[in-house]
Parts: sequence; structure tokens; C-alpha cells
Amino acid sequence: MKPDLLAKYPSSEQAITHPNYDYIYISPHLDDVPLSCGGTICGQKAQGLTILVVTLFAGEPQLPFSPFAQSVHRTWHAPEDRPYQVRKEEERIAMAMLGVDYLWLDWFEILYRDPELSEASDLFSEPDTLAVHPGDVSLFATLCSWLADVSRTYSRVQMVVPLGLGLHRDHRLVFQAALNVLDRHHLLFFEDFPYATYYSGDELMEYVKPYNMIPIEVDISGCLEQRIAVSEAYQSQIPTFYYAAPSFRDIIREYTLAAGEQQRFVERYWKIPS
Amino acid sequence: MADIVPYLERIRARFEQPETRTAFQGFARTIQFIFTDLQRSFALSIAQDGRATLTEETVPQPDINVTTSSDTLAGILDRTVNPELAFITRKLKASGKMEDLLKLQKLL
Repeated sequence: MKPDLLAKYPSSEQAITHPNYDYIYISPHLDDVPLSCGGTICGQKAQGLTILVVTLFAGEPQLPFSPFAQSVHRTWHAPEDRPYQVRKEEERIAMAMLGVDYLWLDWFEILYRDPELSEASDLFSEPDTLAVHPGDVSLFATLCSWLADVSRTYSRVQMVVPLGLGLHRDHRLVFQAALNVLDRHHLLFFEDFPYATYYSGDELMEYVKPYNMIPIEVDISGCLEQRIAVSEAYQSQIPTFYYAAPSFRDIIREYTLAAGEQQRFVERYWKIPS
Repeated sequence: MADIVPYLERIRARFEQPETRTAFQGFARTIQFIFTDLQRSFALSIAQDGRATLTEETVPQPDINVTTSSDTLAGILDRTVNPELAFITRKLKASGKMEDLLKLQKLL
């Protein structure tokens, strides 16, 4: 990432080894892109493409934490004074496994950003409400500025952002900012995992319908095991994703196989046609 | 509206299975189910040994509150409704400690 862009927006950690990139993946949190796009990235790396993963809401949370945040930390088995320590270690491992550059911006995730948050459902937008919560208006403007700066700096890069499935407020914020700011010729939306697994085919089509999006399938059959291995790096998060499942590996296999209509393993992306 | 009692009884009956009882041993909690369409409330009380009892009552301070419609809970148990999607779209509201909710997820 260019020095002036890095200086303008505070970050806590970076591994930048290329002057330019073929793909920039935007991850709301420290796990979203590897969990959702790990197979595609493995394939792109095998083709020699250059990739940067930017995690937006990687700001180190500060004490004191709300009772709800403490409750979430306990599910991560994270030390109470440094809850992100374990997540950052997991992310470093995943980035190394994928062999990609990465950048962690310093914005806080919703768990630490909204003092009113008191239960799990508060993490998610209410259906049919605006993507930008009134408390996030200022952050949204900054996020839009950052995306605009990135797209100006890397005018030929393909940006890959979350589709916002699952209605997580952070994911929806990024989705809406990308819609507002980025050139649709260079924009792909990834299916947020594991939220995407909650949707039936009809429910997914209903979600994308207002945007007239078309699907793009990426065959990850040759990279499925790498995707699973990368996902396993997130040991603190797996119990919160897959508690009801017999195995999170099975969920990944079933989901990508269903996307490939039982013929191949597929990660699906969505594009707004010009 | 679904006849919800047989569905709740199915949940309670899971605690008769040794694997469920083992999984919930030491998890003494009371789960309050509130059905807005029926205007009825039930309490599922899990004991320390992993056994559970179901009563129709409103308890003063449940550990977990589950507020939903009878059709939604019936759909979840019949596997026609995804419980996580019901949760994030607020068709099923669950409140309590995060670790307790994760345990509840296993139950549903």
C-alpha cells in the first residue's frame, strides 16, 4: 500500500511487500476473508497474482469492557485485558498460510464501538432498516473516504468486499460503503461465511435481487483442503460459528458443494453488471 | 399457530438422551420461552445433572429468554426454518449470556 495512504489512515499492523495488487480483499473483522474466500485466494496465489487483505475493524479494544463484550470474550477464551491477542495471532497464521500481504486498520468493531450494545442480536441490523446505523454515520463517511482513496491509488485493482449476508452491522456498513463509492467494473462481493450458510437458495436470491447482481462461481475443488486448513486457524471463533454442527469442516464442504450444484466445490461471488 | 406443547416436549425429551444429559451436566439454567402469538410462556429448567423439566409458567429471573412465535419454533424443530437466520432477522429473540446462548444453539 502506498505510503501516503498508509499515513492517512492509522493501522496497527501491516505486511506490505508489493507496490501494486491484482486483488484487494476487504475484511470487516480478523477472520472474514479467509473464512469466506480462502479457496479463491489459494487459487489466485497459484496463478502468481498479488493479493492484499485489509481488515477494517481491527482496532485494539480498550478496557473497560461492557458485560456483553466480556461475555463474548469468554466464548473466545481470550484474556480479558487483551481480548484481541488471540484473534491477531490466529489472523497472522492465516495470512501466512495464504501467503498474502495484509493491513489492519484501527477502527473498532461494533462490539466496542456501540456502548448501547447489550446482547447478541444488537450485533445485527434489523431487516429492512438502513445499512448505516445512526451511530455509525461519521465512521461511514471515513470508510467511504478510505475506499475512494484506495480505488484512486489502485485504479486497476479488483476490490472484493462482503455482500453483507447475515446483516452484521459491520458487514452491512462495508457493503453499503462499497456500493456507494467503488467502480462496479472492479467490484466483487463475497458471500459472508458462515452467515451465508443460514440462507436457502431462494432467500439468497431474494437478498441480491434489489441490486440486480449476477453470480460468479470460482471452482475451488483443488483448494478446498487449503480453505479448510486456513479456517482451522481460527480456533477461538469456531465454537461461535459451528456449535450446532457436527463438524465445521463438513459445513464448509457442504456449503461449497451446494454452491457447485453437487458437482464441484465453489466459492460464489456477486457482481453488479454494467 | 402451532400447537407448541409437543414441540417443547421434544426439546425436553432430548435431555433423556445420555449424550444430551452429559453435554448439559453442570449447566443448571432456566430458559423462559415466550410465545407472542399464543400469549403463553413456558419454563425449561435444566438441573445440575443434565435432566430437564418443562412447566407452563413465567419465572422471575430466567437465565435465558427466548421470545418467538409458535410457528417459528415449530419450523426450527421441523428443520424448515434456519435457527440462526431466525435469530438475526429477529423472528427469534434470545437474550442471556453469550456462552449460554451458544449452548442453547446446540439445543435448537
